[in-house]
Amino acid sequence: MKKLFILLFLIGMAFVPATVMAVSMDDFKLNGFIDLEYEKADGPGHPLTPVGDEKGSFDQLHFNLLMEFPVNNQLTVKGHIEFEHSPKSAEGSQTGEINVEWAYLEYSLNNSMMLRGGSFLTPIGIYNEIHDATATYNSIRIPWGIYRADKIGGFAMFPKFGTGINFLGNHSSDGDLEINYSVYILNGENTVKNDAEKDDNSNKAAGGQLMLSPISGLIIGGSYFTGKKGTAEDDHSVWIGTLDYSTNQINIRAEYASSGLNDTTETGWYSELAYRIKSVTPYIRYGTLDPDTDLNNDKWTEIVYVLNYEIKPGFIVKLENRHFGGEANNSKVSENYNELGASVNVAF
Amino acid sequence: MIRYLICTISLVMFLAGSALAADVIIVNRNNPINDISSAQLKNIYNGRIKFWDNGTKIIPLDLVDDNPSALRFANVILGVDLETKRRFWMQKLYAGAGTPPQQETNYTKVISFVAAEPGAIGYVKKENATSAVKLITVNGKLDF
Repeated sequence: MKKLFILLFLIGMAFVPATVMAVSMDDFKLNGFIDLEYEKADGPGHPLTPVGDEKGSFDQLHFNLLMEFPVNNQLTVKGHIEFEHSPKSAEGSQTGEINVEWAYLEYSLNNSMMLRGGSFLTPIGIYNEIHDATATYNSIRIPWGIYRADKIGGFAMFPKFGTGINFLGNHSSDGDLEINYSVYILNGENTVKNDAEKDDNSNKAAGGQLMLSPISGLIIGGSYFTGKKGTAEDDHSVWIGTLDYSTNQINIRAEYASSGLNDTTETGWYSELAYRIKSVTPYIRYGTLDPDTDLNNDKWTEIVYVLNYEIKPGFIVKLENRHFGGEANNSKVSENYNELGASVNVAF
Repeated sequence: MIRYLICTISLVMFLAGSALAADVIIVNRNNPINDISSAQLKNIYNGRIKFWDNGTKIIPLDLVDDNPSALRFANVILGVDLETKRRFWMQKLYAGAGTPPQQETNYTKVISFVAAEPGAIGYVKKENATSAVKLITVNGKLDF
């Protein structure tokens, strides 16, 4: 199956005309986003390794640039570079991060099928592909119970990025039914080498996503990923169920995830509700993570209240209160604490 | 009698107003299409349909949000308000899943663009449409 997938990609690429010519800059598209955050916690969350920021800090979190270059009607080159925490590089030290979030070529076979090759964000759940684009969601942080389990006592449920081939597309009927699908094969999660260059092992990771919209505004779907992690070839898999309903004013969303790393299983879920009144959107979320289903007293929970105010299109201010609950056996958050957050987000 | 007259005049004015407000879908004159379903139109403007049946790339044109036709198109064809449409495209853009239709500031620019680009499609107020472009029906109806 994997060999067939690779063969199909190579055949697809064979149809791409050789393009050595310069492409008109008229077709080049540049977008991006930037955000500044402030957060202050009223407790450390853990007595030995604090996770809550009690001092209160500004964080220039994202400055991201997205580029798109249509080479011809079928082929597009896309790139996304991230400067996270305003990175600085000096001899012997580096702060912040510079990431290529994605760099791939995308070939449209027809209205229903596209082929991507390169590095891209793993198509998992609702949030992974937009996890940095804070202007696109109501809260300051995405639901960590699924998307950042490694920060709250669990292990990362899936790799955020991957390098390989992605076959994706959609099907629409003349009625309301819409189907979006995505299947991919990747180098997988590495622990030693850069996975965008070489694989740590000879097993390729694979996954897929299917999102159905039976009626306007409703999305029901699932995502799956499986692979061998690093040189130790640990078995790693995850599946996520997604439910999303939205109208012009209301958005109700819930996701459940279960991930296995060798013999450890962790589960997480969240549900959220947003109600837009003109430019202001109050939002509430409850989320939880059980980092090891065989271990007691290790759960993490969050209740998040947000006021999202879009001053002008693409210029957003958010105020957020997060209450975190941590049980004694959780390795990262073993005490309850409260955190206030504020952010300014601009998308351009 | 006077009441009847006032009612009749009001009705005629209302109908005339509605007719003037009507918008039409335009394509390039060389495009063989004559009719499109509202679902296809929605999918074109949501970025789900990218090519015409003859393989030409579709270039959908939108109008800026403060143009009354933009609101009408979003409400009637896309089934959303302008804010929801904008947020939909923001999510797609920042997920690498597509870029929103190009927005023009007025009907003249839409017509000029559609007249020049074989794959272009747009919407304009009915009385602004010229012979430089082709009017097509939506579910068999000329205006929406």
